[in-house]
Amino acid sequence: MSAVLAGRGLTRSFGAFRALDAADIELQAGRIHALMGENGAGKSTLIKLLGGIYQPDAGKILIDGHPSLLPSPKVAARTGIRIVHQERHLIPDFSVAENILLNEMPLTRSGLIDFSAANRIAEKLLDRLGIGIAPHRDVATLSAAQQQQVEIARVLHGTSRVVILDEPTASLTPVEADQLFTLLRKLAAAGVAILFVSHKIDEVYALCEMATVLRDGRVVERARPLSEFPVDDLVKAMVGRSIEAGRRASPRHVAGPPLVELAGVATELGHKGIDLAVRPGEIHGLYGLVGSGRTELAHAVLGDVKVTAGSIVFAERDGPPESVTEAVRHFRIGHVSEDRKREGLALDQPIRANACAAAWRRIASRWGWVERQNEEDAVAGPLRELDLTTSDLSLAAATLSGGNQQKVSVAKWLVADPRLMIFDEPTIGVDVAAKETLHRHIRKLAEDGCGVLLISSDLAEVITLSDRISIMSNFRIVGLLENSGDYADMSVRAMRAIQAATAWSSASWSHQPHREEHS
Amino acid sequence: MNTMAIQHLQRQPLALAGLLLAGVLFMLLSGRGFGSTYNLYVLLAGFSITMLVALSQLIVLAIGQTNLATGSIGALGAIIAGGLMQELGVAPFWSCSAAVVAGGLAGAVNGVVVNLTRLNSFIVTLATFAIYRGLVYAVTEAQPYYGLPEGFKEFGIARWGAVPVMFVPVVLILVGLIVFFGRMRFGRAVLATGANQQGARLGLLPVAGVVLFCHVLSGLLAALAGIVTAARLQSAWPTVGDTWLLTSFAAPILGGTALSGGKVSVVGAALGVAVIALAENALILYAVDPYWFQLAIGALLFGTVVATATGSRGTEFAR
Repeated sequence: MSAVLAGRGLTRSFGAFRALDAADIELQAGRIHALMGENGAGKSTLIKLLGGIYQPDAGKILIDGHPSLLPSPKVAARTGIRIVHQERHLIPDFSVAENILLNEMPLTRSGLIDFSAANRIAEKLLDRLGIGIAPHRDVATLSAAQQQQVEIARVLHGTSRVVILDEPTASLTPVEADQLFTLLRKLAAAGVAILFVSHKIDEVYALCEMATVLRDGRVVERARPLSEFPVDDLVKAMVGRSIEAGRRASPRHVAGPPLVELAGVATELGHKGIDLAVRPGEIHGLYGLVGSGRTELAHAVLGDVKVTAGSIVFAERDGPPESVTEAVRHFRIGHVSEDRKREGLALDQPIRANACAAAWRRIASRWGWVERQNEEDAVAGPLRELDLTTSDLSLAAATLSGGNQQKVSVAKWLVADPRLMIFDEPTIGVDVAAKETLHRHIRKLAEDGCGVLLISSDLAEVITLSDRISIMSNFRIVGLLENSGDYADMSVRAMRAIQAATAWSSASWSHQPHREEHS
Repeated sequence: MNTMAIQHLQRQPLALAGLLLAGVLFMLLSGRGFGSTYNLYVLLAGFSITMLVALSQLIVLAIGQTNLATGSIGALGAIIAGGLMQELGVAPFWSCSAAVVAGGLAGAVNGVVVNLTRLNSFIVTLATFAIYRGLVYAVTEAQPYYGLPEGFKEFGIARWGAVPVMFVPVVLILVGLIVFFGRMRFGRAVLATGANQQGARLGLLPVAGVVLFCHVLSGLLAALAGIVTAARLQSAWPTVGDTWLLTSFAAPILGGTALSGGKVSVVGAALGVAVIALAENALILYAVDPYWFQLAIGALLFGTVVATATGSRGTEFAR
């Protein structure tokens, strides 16, 4: 069977850096094909070449076996090649229908946009795809998962023969991811060729038929059927060495008085009756679905969200801090944000300065002067410990890959020597090797006596790292589990806690927090 | 985010409408001749010119850009129209048309440079602001054109009761822009580009064309405002547009248009212009020294912006 879309010897360099080196790929109609590789392996570059966003330096693209040129995304789209990008590209104030149709909005006879006709067209498409979103809703009112469904609907409007999805599950809950997979299988059954780009190994095995693996810009495995591709081999292909995949967790029982204790806490954002305690040396997992109020609770601990009832008490201090500045300076709370690009790093600043930012006061001279040498001395150790692979600390943080950026965010706090660390989705969008390093360091922090609050939507991560796990749903804590370290058992218990809480809250809808007011 | 944005969009024009109503009632009861036909005519004539200036800025704000050169392009429009009529004896209609086209070209220069260099429009239009203004002074040697044809001057003062003739085209342009942003494909493309340029590009919208279009339209409207100013002053001054910068931003922003792009309120901008025009009129009727005008409008903008910003605190976690 000839491929709908194929790349042969695709090469593309950026300056001296060869991002993609003679890569081959073939996509067949009706097949779901995985593209795997670590951050910086060249996946994005390959996708952009196939989508007409970049032009190859060498190599060619074949459509139905014929050499073709894709000089722009417009031409690629006309050929039926569409990309669902990792970042959302929707217009927040436009309706679902208008986002789907965008440049093809239907007109009335007088030449004006016919919004009701647009809604009808969009509704038909959404129905066909089994997506239950009202077409007239503003996109900004939708959840991350729904927005992604709209993006998919958008690329499927018109004739799509090839759909490329770049890390589509990064911001989805497991349930939402399953819905996405159902939709993708439906598309494949209708004859669409799908290229599924992901880090997540279990997802790829659940969904895809075959995998192409990139490493350092080269194809190291080409369209290998996943049925004869053991996990260990796949990981080895991605990272070039083997990693203890699925290592069993070893939760500890940490005793002693808590470092921080929340009792009956309610916040201006709608949290109610939150009880939570983190002990020194403990990794306390905070698991819940996206939107359940975990990040917001962390911000309350940091003094950035107003507490309206209950108490937050820190060891030897009454809390919470009045401000984030106080949280960092006097309470020595460190915080690695889930949104490292916006909250975690100054991307245009040198790596050195980023890694040092939380400790400037300590290393500055009496007049506030920060010596470059002092900065380098302070950060060199932590960065080395984190295997940060870069030669030059004066390069801008933006030049690093996602995983390495995250290492800098973490190094920043290692330099500052915190007593309580809050990690919010520390490994989101990070490759396997970097994830392993980050996990090692979270463990080490705890072993050195730092209390850790670990917020994550990745249940496997929570179970691997945590000593105890609090389950959050709808801005409440709905369970506190001692971690047995057994993934199968723990995941069932966590999901059960959430389901029980959801059933309860939908039965008594009047008790639901009024998050809408704050959205 | 969105709920806030919607509230923001709706709340601000509503507050402005309330402010306007209160102001009008106050002035009617003040007994300073606010309700006289002539005063209302003066008010509406002032509104017409400021409205064009505000729309000239609003159209580039829609894509998240700025046009600091609106005043200079206004002067260019006034001087080209005046010069053609006085020095070359060209008929008013053709002179004005040429001046408007020149304004469009001046805007096109801004748009093309922004597209080609990817420089921030602030920098680009800061430069052309000086270039166009300098051109006007160099060509005119800072002298105004006084000898304008009667027909042109008549347009500047003609009125039906309290309604100036120049008010009519301005209202048509207002309505046109409301339809443009609300119901026309290209207008929606402008908003989409302003809200998420990369998204618009990947959504296959003609982003570069949108940017160019907005700068051209901004130039056209600025030049038109300059011509109307000349008609109203009965002479074309090279200083036309010197004071437009503040109001060009103040009116759209008061009305809920976002500096970041993608959100415009034409009605809000009209209300903003009305409030500014009313404030100026009140200051005149109370015989306040005109030197206080800038302070008053500045304070109005400052107060509204601060009030809105404090009103929307605590929404950092909005999704």
